[in-house]
Amino acid sequence: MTIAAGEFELPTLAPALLAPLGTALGAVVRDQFVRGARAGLARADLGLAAAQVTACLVAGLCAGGGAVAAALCVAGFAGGLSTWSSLAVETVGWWRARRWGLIAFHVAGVLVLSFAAFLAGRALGGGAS
Amino acid sequence: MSGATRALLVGAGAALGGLFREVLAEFLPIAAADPALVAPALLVVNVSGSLLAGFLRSLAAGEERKGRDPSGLEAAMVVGFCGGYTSYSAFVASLHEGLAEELPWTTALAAATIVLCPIAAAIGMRGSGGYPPRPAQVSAGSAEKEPA
Repeated sequence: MTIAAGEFELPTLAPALLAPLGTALGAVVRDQFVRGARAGLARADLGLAAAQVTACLVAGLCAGGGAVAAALCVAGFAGGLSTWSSLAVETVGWWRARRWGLIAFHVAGVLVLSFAAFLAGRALGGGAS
Repeated sequence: MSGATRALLVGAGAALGGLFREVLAEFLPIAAADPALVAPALLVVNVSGSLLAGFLRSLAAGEERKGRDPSGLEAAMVVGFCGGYTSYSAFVASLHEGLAEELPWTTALAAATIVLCPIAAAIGMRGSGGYPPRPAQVSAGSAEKEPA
């Protein structure tokens, strides 16, 4: 059983193989975002926020694509570029440090920005209904 | 640790984490049979990944206190595996889809994710020796940490 992907066909297992490839690339880019923000702005959390918003933009852009784009870019690259686990660990630290502003920004503000970026990506990529 | 070594560790861990996420969120029969169940499956992925990340983050802090370098563990498992396993963009996409298609429990699942992921991370930290002495600074090499 196969799925159509442009001019060639991929086995149904392909998403399970393409997604990890994209995830690896996305995670390395996320790490660079965080390290770059730490080095340049002394704010690693802003690197994480930028990675989350960018990932949602990419996911929106590729949302209207085929199976390959969905696996490689949406589940893969965008999935690896964004993360819930780092945000959760950081939120615990901010909670303990009573950094309520940071929690509000990252939990509510970044969610709104990410949702808007996803919608913008869908509109730009032609995936908006 | 060189940048290339770190990138390899992060990439390898993330590839494995991404594979786990795909299998759990997309290929589990219960989720694949009903698209409305993909969001709950993603909730399980994000909460369990946060639990593991908290556990490993605290474990790494403990290693650091013992004078050992935890940067390899953090790169491969916290930044890589847990970061690749969990997904914020999938959470946002799932939230959008749920709102657009008026799927039941969409708002509740989003709220549950926002509340349960940090709680899971805190439980994970307690499970491996307690909270790190200071905010984790997005887990990217303990020697380079500085106040946010």
